[in-house]
Amino acid sequence: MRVALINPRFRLPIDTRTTPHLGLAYLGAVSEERGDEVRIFDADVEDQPLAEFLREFRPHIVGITANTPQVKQAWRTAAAVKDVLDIPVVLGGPHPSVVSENLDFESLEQEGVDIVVRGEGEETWIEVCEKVEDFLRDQAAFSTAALMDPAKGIWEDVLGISYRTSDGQLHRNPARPAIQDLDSLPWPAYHLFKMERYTNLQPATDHVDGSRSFSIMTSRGCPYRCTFCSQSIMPIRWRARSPENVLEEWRHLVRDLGAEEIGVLDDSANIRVDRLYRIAELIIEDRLNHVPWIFVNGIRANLASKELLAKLKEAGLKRTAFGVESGDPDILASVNKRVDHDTIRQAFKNAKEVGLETIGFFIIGLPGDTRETMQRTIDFACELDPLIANFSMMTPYPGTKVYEQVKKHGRLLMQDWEDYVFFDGRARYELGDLTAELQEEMWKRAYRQFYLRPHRILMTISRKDFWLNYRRTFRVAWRTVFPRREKTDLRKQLEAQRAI
Amino acid sequence: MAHVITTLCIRDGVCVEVCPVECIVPGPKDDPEWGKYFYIDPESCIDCGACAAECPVEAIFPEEDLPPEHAADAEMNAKFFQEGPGYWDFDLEEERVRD
Repeated sequence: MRVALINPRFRLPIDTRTTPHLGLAYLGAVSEERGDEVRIFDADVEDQPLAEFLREFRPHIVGITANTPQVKQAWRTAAAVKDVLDIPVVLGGPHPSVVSENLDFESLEQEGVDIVVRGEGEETWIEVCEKVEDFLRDQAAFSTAALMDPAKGIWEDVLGISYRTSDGQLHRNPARPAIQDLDSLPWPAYHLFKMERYTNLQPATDHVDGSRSFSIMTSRGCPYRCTFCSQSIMPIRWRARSPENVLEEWRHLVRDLGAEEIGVLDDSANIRVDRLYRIAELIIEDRLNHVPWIFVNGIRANLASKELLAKLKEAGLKRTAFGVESGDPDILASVNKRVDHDTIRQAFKNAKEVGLETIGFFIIGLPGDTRETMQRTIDFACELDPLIANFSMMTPYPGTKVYEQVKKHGRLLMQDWEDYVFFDGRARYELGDLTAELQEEMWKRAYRQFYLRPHRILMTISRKDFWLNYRRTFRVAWRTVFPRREKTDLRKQLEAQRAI
Repeated sequence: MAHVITTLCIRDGVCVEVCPVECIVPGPKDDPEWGKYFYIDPESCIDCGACAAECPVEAIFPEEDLPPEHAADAEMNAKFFQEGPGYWDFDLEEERVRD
């Protein structure tokens, strides 16, 4: 069967990184393992028009991924597929997986989406492909309407999907249990991507060719339930690959694919400290530690002992991030982060002492934040003084506790899903005294106070990468000080239209 | 800090399934001293709260939020691993109590 996997264009308000989509890379790999002919169409880097790609490849099925800001583009893509071919279109990814808000049904109500795969996709996707293939085998002429005919009952027992039958009825099947044995998954199919078209992983890593920059996933999920985190819609059970299995892929990335930089994309890589320590030992024993690597999404500060960090550094770790979130103890406790400030201080101290670069993730505008508590967050960032401080605007993603809180007691300022990005300076909601104006003011202050200290300016301009990417760096700095437009304008506009 | 299983425990066992570091152990069901509850090893607990979120009877608390009437249960959990049976090779399906 011919299978097309599509990453819709991600329309972001700022210039950002472009890396291969690991989720699609996994789906591509399991499809190939099944014997399918697979192509990945990543609209972020593709120059061929979608219709032309579809006419040329003539897939039997299309899978489209969507996170929240991407979902409208995914719907447009689904409709565009149907304009060219009468084939089943399957939507997956975090956004349509949020059943508490009926976001699977929201997508199925759009023109062109036949099936939604919820949660972890690999096993469900393969079962969907098998059903389509079985159906194709029996049919002289294929039509999606026949495939989705309720009388045939093809989809009734497939776990983890929601779907629309051809009579227009929407159905939601029970969830599929999370994959228990991650070692059973094949390696991501990087050969399906046009690797030369991607950037490296982070803006401030020394200039690495995008085609030599790879990601890896050593564990999935996170047992912690932070109230703002989209991870909280995923199963609470944290699952990990064995150190030996991780090493095999690591070796493949370095020796076979020539990786010059590896990004570990785990949500919480260090839940089992002994496992991570063993991975580091194996990387060293196998002499793969000359390739620098980073924890893109950070690790838990409460599980980052100096001994562990020293071993990771020896294994090639260049940089790690920690989610700090807030400088105010009460706010930090209220988001259920389950870590305290002294522990965070110690983690940064440990990381710096063993020679690691650090990133701190901070959130401006958490529920309950005031001018004073947000100032504490900024001051704490300055005290920790990581190499990079990343201040996100609190964005309530559907399915999270904060989203429920805002829906009940506050108001969302977003017009549509495309507004759900957290890295520009626009406020996303208001709750009590926490106004959009205050959040936007403090976000700007955070960047200015942190980065415009004399030693930071010196540190920034002395970095090689600053000059290698100076055009982009100046553009981002300019936009930080002078954002394109303020959310307050949008709010006033919505109020005038009585749209809120 | 760690989480603590209190005497409200009904031996449902879902906590064992979700614990990412496998630090929850049932008291052997036939053991007259320890057989009524499950226990969390405070030395290994990473305080993630996954067990508390899943417990059907809300029998698990962060140590700092223990209700006063269950204050002694923190010591009971620690004692199970120091002086009691501690880690042992158990079959969860045999040990759990489910309707």
